[in-house]
Amino acid sequence: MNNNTKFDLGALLNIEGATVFFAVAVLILFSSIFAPSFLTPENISNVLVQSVFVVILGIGMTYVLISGGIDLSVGSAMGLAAAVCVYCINAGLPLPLALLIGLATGAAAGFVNAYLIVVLGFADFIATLGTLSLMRGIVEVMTASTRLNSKNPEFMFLAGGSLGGIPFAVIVALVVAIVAGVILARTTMGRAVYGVGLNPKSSFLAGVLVNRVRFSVFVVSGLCAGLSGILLASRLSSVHPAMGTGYELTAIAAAALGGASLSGGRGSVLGTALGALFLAILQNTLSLMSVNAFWFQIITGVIIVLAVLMDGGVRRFVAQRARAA
Amino acid sequence: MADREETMDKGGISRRQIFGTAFAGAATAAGTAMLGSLGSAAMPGRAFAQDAASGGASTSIAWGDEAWRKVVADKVAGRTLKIGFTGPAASEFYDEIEHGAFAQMHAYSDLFGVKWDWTYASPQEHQDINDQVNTIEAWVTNKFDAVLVCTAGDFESMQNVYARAETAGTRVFQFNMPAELWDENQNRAISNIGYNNVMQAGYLAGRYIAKQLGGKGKMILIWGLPGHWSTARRKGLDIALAEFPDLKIVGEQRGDYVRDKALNAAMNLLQRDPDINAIYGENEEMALGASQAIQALGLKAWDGKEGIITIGADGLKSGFESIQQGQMTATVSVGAVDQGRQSIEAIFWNLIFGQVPPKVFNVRTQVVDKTNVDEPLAYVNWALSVPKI
Repeated sequence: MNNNTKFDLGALLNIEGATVFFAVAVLILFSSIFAPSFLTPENISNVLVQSVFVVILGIGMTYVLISGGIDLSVGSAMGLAAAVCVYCINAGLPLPLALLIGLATGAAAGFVNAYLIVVLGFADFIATLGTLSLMRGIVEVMTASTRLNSKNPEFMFLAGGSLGGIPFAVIVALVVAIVAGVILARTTMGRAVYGVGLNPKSSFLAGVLVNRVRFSVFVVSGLCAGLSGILLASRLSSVHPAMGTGYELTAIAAAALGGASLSGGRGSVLGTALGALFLAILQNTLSLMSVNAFWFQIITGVIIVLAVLMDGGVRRFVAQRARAA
Repeated sequence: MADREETMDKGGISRRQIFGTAFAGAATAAGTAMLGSLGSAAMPGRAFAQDAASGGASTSIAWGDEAWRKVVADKVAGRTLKIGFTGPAASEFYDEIEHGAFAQMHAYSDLFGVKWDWTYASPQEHQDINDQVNTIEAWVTNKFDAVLVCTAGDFESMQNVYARAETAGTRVFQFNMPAELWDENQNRAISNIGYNNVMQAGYLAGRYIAKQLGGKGKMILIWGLPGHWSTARRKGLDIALAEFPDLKIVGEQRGDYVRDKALNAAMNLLQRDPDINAIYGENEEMALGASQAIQALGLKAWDGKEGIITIGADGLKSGFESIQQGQMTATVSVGAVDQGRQSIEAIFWNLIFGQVPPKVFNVRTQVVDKTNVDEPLAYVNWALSVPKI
């Protein structure tokens, strides 16, 4: 205890999301040096809006990952919720009702996943792979030959408008992050999610309704996917057959960058949000620097692996320090 | 009606010829210095310049004269035009379009001294439109002069970002999108350089199959990812087939624009029904996959009289070579090289002089089979030999 600085460093690194926060800070420094237009207000607003979809999707994914599960269907759920929502708007329903139906579609997708996994006992990987394909098919049927688009100005405000200079979609993402973060970190339900992920048996013995927790995380994930899809539809003012394809992997990458463990029990909303922000800034910077499109992919892959490695290294360092102390 | 293809070929003015003479004219006008510079660079203009020098340059009608060329060059004043190019996926087809653009950029650099700063991007996930929107936003932030966009989404999904680009001073051009599906006045892009997917692709493929088979037979279809391209080509195919009630579609499957999925799809359909007469692959990769399925099953490819016809659409080098070797029967070449060249033409005159290109500019297309593959193959080979910018 005589060496206060080292002890403080360890404590600091132990905070959830500290490493990814550090990574984001380094990336911002790099970007502002090598891409001069990075720090312009328009670009910052662009990057924040660009990150919103994966932030929200990733938050739902974080719940599932912490509980020890995985949800591969979120990209398709995004597309389906968006398609249903825009369909309702075009059918003349009032916007709030259409949005609600869109969100309900996302939640329903999560409900189906949960039913298959928790009640019928499917492996989550297989069940969500099935619903991924199923929902993508529905989106394609809905959009392949009839175009689904909406120019409703209120609908376009969701991802295009701003309040007091802050893009509205960013405000939505902030609210979602705060609510989801508080629930996860400060409530019994949140602690139960961690408990189920760490050790379902002892959680059950401790009185946690394990199945109910596992059920609810998939509904949360579906709900987040629905919201993310609706925002994306608003940004593109249309839904196309491939909308959301591949987003599940980006969401998992964001959560992993943010310190979530694919084997459950670890992760945080703040970490995932920063992870998503990291990926958006990286993409933006490489675009601003006009990096060759093929190198773009390679660099993205290398940086993700490095960032996760760094996170693991820091964890080991913290663990050793804890043992030494 | 039956000879629509032929009429289109003869009726259309060959832009290639115009540019040929343009090169020749400008090169002769500029004198030996310019000839020297053209001759030393590995440039497409070289051949034309030599033609002009050896064969009666005085009688050929040039594209403009030196006085005009100088006016343009003075206005350009050595300016660098910053252009972004984004397609829905990285593929041989978009590479050909890009090389067509390179060819035209080199030509204008030589003629008018314009410089080019060219950036290419395609989404990491196939057809991720939001990814492309993000890229365009970054380019707008970086004050690009113009962006060339082709997306799997409809015009609607791009209008917001086009509007932002417009406000920030970046001009938007589209390429290779089926403009015929939308109201052109709703599109904020300055021009759509492409071709009519209904009548210049799907329709032509249907007519070709009908003509070869004498209007009678069984065919199967292999489709790409659902979206505007497949919608438009299907429409054209249906228009063509409506005249031939004895030519029946007996099976359809998805190939998602890639060879392996199309190969499997064709195998399955052919095993169910081996006496199929024709396979329409909505793009060339899939038609190539279908022709491989025919080979793998030991069935006979079309030889002009019998066998199974395979027809695709794109106009790839690999497709033309497969046609030469008698594997794939035919393809609809949709003018990839010309789309690239015309895009640069539209951008150059718009950026430098504010000249307004047609809102919808369709390039020539053509059904290519063994009888006429030489010219399109030579043209694509030339474009691919042009150095990158």
